[in-house]
Amino acid sequence: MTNVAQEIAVESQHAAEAQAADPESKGAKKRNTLFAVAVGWLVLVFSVVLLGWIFGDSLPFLRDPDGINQDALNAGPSWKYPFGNASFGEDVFSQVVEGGRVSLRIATVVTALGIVIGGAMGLFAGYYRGLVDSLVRLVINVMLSIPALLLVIFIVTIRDQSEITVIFALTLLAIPALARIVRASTLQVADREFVKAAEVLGVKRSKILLREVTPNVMPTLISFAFLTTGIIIVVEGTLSFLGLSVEPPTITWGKIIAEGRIKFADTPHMVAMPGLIIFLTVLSLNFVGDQLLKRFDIREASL
Amino acid sequence: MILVLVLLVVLALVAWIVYAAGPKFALKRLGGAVLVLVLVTFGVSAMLSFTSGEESTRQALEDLGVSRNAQPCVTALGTGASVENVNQCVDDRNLDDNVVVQYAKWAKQIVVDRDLGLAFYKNGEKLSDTMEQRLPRTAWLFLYSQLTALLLAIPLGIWSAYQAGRGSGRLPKWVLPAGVGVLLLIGIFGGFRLTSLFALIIAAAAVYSIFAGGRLADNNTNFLAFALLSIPVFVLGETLRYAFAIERDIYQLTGYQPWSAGAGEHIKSIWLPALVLGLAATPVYLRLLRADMIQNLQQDFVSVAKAKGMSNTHILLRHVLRPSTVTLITVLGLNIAQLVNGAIVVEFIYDLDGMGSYLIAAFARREFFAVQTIVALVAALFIFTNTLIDVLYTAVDPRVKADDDR
Amino acid sequence: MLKVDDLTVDFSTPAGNLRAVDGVSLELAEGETYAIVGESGSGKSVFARTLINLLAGNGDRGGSIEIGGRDIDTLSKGESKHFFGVDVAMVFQDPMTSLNPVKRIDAQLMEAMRYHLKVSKSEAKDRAIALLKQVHIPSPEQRMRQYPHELSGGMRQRVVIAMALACEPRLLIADEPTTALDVTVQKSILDLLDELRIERKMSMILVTHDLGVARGRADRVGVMYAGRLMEVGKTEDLFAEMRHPYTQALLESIPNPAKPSHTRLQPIPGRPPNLLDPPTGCAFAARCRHARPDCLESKPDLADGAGRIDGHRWACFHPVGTPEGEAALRTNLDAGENAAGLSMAEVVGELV
Repeated sequence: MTNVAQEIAVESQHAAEAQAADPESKGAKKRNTLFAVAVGWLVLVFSVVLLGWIFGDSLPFLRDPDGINQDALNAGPSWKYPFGNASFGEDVFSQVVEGGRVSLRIATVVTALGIVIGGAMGLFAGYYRGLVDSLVRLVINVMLSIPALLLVIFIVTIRDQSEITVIFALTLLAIPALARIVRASTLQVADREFVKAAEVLGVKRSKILLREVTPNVMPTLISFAFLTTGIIIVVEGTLSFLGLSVEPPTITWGKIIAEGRIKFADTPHMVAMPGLIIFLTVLSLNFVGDQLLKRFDIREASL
Repeated sequence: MILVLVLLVVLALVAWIVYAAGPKFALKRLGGAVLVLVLVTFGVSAMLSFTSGEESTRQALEDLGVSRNAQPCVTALGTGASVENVNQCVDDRNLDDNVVVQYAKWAKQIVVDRDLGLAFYKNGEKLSDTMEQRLPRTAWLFLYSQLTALLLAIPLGIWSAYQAGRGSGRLPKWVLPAGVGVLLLIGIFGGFRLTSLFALIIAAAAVYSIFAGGRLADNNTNFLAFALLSIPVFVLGETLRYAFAIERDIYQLTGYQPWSAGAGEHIKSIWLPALVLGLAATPVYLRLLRADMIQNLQQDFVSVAKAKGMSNTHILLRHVLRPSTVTLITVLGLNIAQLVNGAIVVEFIYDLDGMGSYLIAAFARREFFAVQTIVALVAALFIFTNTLIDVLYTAVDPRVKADDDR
Repeated sequence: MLKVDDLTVDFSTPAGNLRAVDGVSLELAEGETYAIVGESGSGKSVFARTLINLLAGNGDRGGSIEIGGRDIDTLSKGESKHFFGVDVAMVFQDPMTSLNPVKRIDAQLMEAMRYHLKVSKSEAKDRAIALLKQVHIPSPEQRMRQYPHELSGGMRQRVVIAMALACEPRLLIADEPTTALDVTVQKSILDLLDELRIERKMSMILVTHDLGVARGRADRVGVMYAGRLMEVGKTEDLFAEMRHPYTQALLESIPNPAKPSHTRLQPIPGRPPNLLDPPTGCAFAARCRHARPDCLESKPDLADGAGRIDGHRWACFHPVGTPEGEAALRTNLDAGENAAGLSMAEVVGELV
């Protein structure tokens, strides 16, 4: 969306906040528990994936994701194999854990790069204004004028399907989005009196940017970081679903779903389980990001 | 032919923009738009020219007697391509020229010659023909999906905004046994299968919300929208495909039928993918409309209308709805990104031969010229719509103009 | 014309129950103007809105309201659809926001007529023009086609009044109709309301925080505080001999041009009570110079107080200008504070 339209759309969102801003209401208590649940889920997912990475098959509930189990070809979920089995009996649960490694790694790296690069861009543009701002805005507009999926597929196709390329492509998405948000937030903060006061006192502008402006932009940035991570997981999942992400034998969540859909009637669990995991993870990320926004910057949140 | 029409529409819109926003501002915006478009297409072009691969590949190509840059052509022509074919292809596509020349030649071909090039190099299929055949499918998909989304989002948004200001009632005593009975029926009919379970949960929550009303209903609706927003389109698409096409036989995956095959056939072939895209878009519209309506409901003139004795329905629909739809209409126009997403993912899942499927094939076959053209078209559409909406807003809210110059 | 009996309005909020109106009773005869006076948060606006059935979603009403002889709780669904806005109408405070900005004046005027009275479009149009003339808007035919933002504040309020009168109500409720207007415009609007009231034999409830307005325009006055009526009576009686300490304090807090310049302003110390956790006893006790221990224990009723002259009633155990009141004041002055611990130096100012 354009700057303007987005800003106006966001403006109208905050109206709903007036309804539910009471900290003692029943709704708030429900939200707090949900928040805890969401955070808990994220911690769980990340821990399991991390543990799987470090310890591999030595963990009791993990098996070799490529391991063939003759006894359970295309089987549905069971006690032994909680997520069911694939066409050669591979344990889907282990596949999901290993797939998570790649998917989450890509998502976190992209978000981190986006925060650093996009954040810096936004800060400079929003604070120094002038030529820097015009330039950054131009770059943002250019990068955002191709629909996300199209751009990413394009890059992956013209280069190769390595993890680096995928990260590169997704970062090209994250940077302008985050830069725009950071810029808007910086504009607001830079307008505040304590910043103007520091400027009048003669403090060096770069110092003001670092010490005064950035800490006040951080909360919004962190909230959007969560939201962005969720979006990246979805885009990467879509990519690997289409077969355009990292090459096999690397497993990603979208890949498992893509495999599962081939013989859908036999293997619905191969679609449902990773799908459920993706859904819950993205939902938690969105929820956490949204709630953080509410605490820091009430205008932008929606729940 | 279609191109001429499109051009006329574009010119008309441009003229309107200039009129509505004042020449200086319009020029600035349009100029910016053109600049962005040029940069984007040039960037795309530049990226393409850097794909010729690693040194070893290029050396190998040279040894074979073709140009070093021939890799894309080799892929496009596939096995069994002769050296002459490859060279011809390289020549046609200007692969040997440098970036700027390549871009210039491409631009000239598109803009001046109005030749969109070939869809598939190997069989010589023209891109304009491909588009003529496939674009309508994607367009229908987009149209139906957005209509569905609006049909779902608008009533829900109005209802939810209205409920937001009321206290939640207590449920009448008969709801619980009735609810359980309904759920049992659904279970029996649905066979207690996987997808029925999900449907059951959602149905239960929905029924409860409807009857309880008030802020509870509003919160639940909001949360539902939030959850819907968090499901990736492909997960949703696959799940519904399973539920309707595989688990049961409600939807046939026999491919697209145009209107000429009869309205029934046409709708039957496309309703499920349209529903999927529609469900993906609904939460966006829902939340926007709801937020706007809540804001408007708090205005004084609503109390005045109530004091005049107008019924709630009358007030909601005749007074509050209209100003609340402004943001919605804007976003509608900007949902082109959804179009692309839907085209690619949904067409893939449901086997519709629209522009999305073509794109995937074009990517796989390294049809870079065609890809470049399509990307340019989409980007142009995107940029143009954005600019249009931007200018529209200035007409509505003059503060925006001032903000821009700050 | 209007008979309110022990009206209570409660709001259930997340922080507890809030009683905005606490047992208000009053009667209004035909053609009378009754002014309800009180500061912000006294409950007067809630009271006014309740009369026209504008209760917020989480509000609960107790007691009874009779308008034109009809108890509004006994109205059938069909009847109530065409009661509010027809038999009773309301004029709101802020003319800037009372009109729908995206609708033309004629649409807004004609809306109620066509909805309630089922008149044809052309007849409604004629009536609308006549209404605009009655509220003294020049060139009504042109104004009809305009949007609200094209009119000035005073004109907009006139339009709002015209809108309220569209269905010939017998009771008009005006909620601070002039607060948002310039002083010069205020008088003309109040004159207009008077004129219309006499012409149409309407009864009017005038809600205001401005004692001057109440004094000049009302037949009877009710002083409201924390959701209760503290003192009611005919205007001349009330202002000539006020009995409730709150009324007295209110009058004293208005700058008096008769006093020498640089006289200290006399605000009422303390602040209104928290209606989520109302005090036992009289709501004004904490700020009252007459407050004695009995004031802290039970709430005085409006009927209390000897000497009920022709409808002049007050809710006070130790009213101003009575022996009990004087005694209470003396005791408090001697003690240096009132029964609620409020220092008398703050309260009385010059008297100390």
